[in-house]
This record gives sequence, C-alpha cells and structure tokens, in this order.
Amino acid sequence: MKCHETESIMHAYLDDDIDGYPYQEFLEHIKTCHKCKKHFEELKITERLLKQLPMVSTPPDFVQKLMQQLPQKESKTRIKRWLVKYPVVVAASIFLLLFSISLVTYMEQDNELKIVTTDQAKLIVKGNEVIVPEGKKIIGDLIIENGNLKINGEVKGNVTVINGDILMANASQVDGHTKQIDRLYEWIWYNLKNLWTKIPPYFIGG
Amino acid sequence: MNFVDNKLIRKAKAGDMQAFAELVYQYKDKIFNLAYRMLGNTQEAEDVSQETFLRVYSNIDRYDEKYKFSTWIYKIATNLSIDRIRKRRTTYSLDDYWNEEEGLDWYTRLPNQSIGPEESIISNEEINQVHKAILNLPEKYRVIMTLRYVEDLSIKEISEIVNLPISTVKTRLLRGREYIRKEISNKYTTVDRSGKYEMS
Ligand SMILES: [Zn+2]
Repeated sequence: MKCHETESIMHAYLDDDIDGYPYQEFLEHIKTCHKCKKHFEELKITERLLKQLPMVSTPPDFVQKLMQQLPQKESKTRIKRWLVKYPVVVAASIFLLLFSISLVTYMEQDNELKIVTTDQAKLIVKGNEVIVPEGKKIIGDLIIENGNLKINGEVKGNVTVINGDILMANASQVDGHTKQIDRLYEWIWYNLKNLWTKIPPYFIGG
Repeated sequence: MNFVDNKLIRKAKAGDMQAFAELVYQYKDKIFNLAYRMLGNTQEAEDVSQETFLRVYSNIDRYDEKYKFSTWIYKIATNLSIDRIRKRRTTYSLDDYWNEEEGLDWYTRLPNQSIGPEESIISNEEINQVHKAILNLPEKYRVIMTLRYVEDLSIKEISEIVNLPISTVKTRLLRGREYIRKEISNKYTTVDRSGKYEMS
C-alpha cells in the first residue's frame, strides 16, 4: 500500500464504514510507516476532541422572548378574506357553530379541572386549586375551568375563571382583565361577548 | 420516526400553543448550539435560533410529515446560519476571511460555566482551539462538521438536511477533519508544516 492511499481508509474508519476498504493492509502499512501512523493517531485525537465539544447553555429567557414575538396565525387572515367577501353568512354560521359548540361543551363537560395557558410549567396545581407561585410570571392569557385560581405571582394577560374563584392580594398582579363566570347563562353571555369582540369590524361593516 | 414529535406537530398545526412551546423546549438547545458553533458568538446564535422557531411557527402548515421533523428544523437553522455568515461577510473580502487565522472579531470566549470540572476531559484550551478551527472552515464544511459533531447526526441524516449525496458529505467530513487535525497538531508540534492546507 502506498502512503497516499491511506487517508481515505483512516476516515472510513472514523465513519465506522471500512467495508470495502483494505483495512488489514492498512494496519500492516502503519506498522512500518511512521508518517501514516502519526497521521492516524492525530486524526483519532481530533475525532475525540470534536466529539467532546461541550454544549453551551441556551439563554434562560429564550422561550419567553420567542413566545412574545410570535405573529398571529396566518389562518386568521384567511378567515378575514372570507369575512370581507361574505360577512353576514360567515358571521351567522360562525355564531351558530361557536354557540352550539360551547353549549354542547358546557352540557357535556364533567367537573374536571381545565387549564388553558402557554406557560403551564410555572403553575402549581393542588386538587382543584391552581396557584401562580410567588415570583413567577405567566405570559399570555390564563383560563381556568372548574377550579379556583390563587395568584401570588403575576399574570401578563387576561384571566378568566369559569366555575371558580379568583384569589389575589391586589389587582396589579394581573396585567389584563379578570373575569369570573359562574352559571350557565353567564357562560353563554361570555361566549357571545367574545364573539362580538372578535367579529365587529366586519359584521358592523368596518 | 419520532412519534412524540408527530403528535406535537399535529397539535401545533391545529394552533395549540402548548404543543408548539413543547417543541421549542425539545429543540431549543440543539438549535442554539448548532447556531453557536456555526456563528461563533451567543448573540448571533440567539438571533438565528429565535428566527428558526419563528419560521417553524409560521410555516408549520407546510411541514410534510413524510420527513423527520428534526431534518426540517435543522434545514431551516443551517440555512439561516449560512445566510447570516454571508451577510456579515460583505464587509470582508473572501481572502481576508480565509487567511486571517486570529483576530476575527466575532470570536467570543466560551462560557466556562457550561462544563463542570468532572466532565472536562478536554481542556478549555483544547475546546477553544477546536471551536476556532471549526469557525475557520468555509461554511459548506462548517455545516457538515457541526451537524456531525455538535448535533451527533448520522451521515445519512446530514445528507438529507443539506440535500447532498452521502459521498459528498463524506468528502466534506474528510476535508473538515483534516483541516482541524492540522490546526491542532500545528499548535503542539513544529514538525513539517509543508504549507497551508488547501481546501477545494
Ligand atoms: Zn505511509
């Protein structure tokens, strides 16, 4: 074997892919060839160093920063186009659809605790009580169904509690609206209001 | 194929923010480290990683589940990293960039706290050398080396990410390793430095 033939075998060895290469012949060659033996040793050290390159840590506020930057979903613009074309039909059907869905969900729901948030990891759940711990900040809206919410930390968003109570030391802990909904008709009213606040520019001809 | 990924992706496609956040948690360190080794500093690495996830978020409808999610996200991250390198280079000439061994002003020191004493089988000096040597590679080699050694991916997956045949990936790995080998051994030994290693 000639010296210039050894390099590809060395790399094939590192890639764990020596099938088809004259590996035994190569081993014989480096027994007597100092230059190729040294080359091979250096490559193995290089490989080891490369594999031991440590992971660096991602900035701790990475996810929070990202979630704040997220744009509105594109599907909403598609709905907008529809709304502009057929405002009344779309509004009426959305209304009926949402209304029946929420009514059915309301009728069918058990009393299971439900939490809707993008920041669930920060919440503590004890029985049917959900706690925003002291020093924690929830980014985004928080909806609790069938449970009480105790805010010791902060919420940057709207808080809605359905079938439960909100407990907090002072109003400044929530950086948005708080709503508490207890009975069926209020639940329906809540969904209606939600619908109005989402549709008005098109429905009322804006 | 990763089932956890697919379940999450289906939820994220349907607009489930919790599922999207979960995907971010699963991939943020991988993407950040990839960008960090490609770009050499944490600020640009963070920008590129944020941009990667924003692209994932706004293009998730176009993600085809026939392919691995990791292949898709790595494709986005490597393309954005390369774009960033190329934009940055408009102020440098190509020769300056390649010949200058030291004094590339975007080098930053590695945060030492990222490795505990018991894990540091490799010294800080060695880490720094390998880190710099990778950054000195032209980006078509740097991408391959980073995917292989930082992300620990198979040659097959790398070839899918960069859209090149396996044989080309192997050739680039060979040249990348040879370059780094020479950089490292030049630092320790003074034997026959027969001229600069040529990349082609
Ligand atoms: Zn030889």
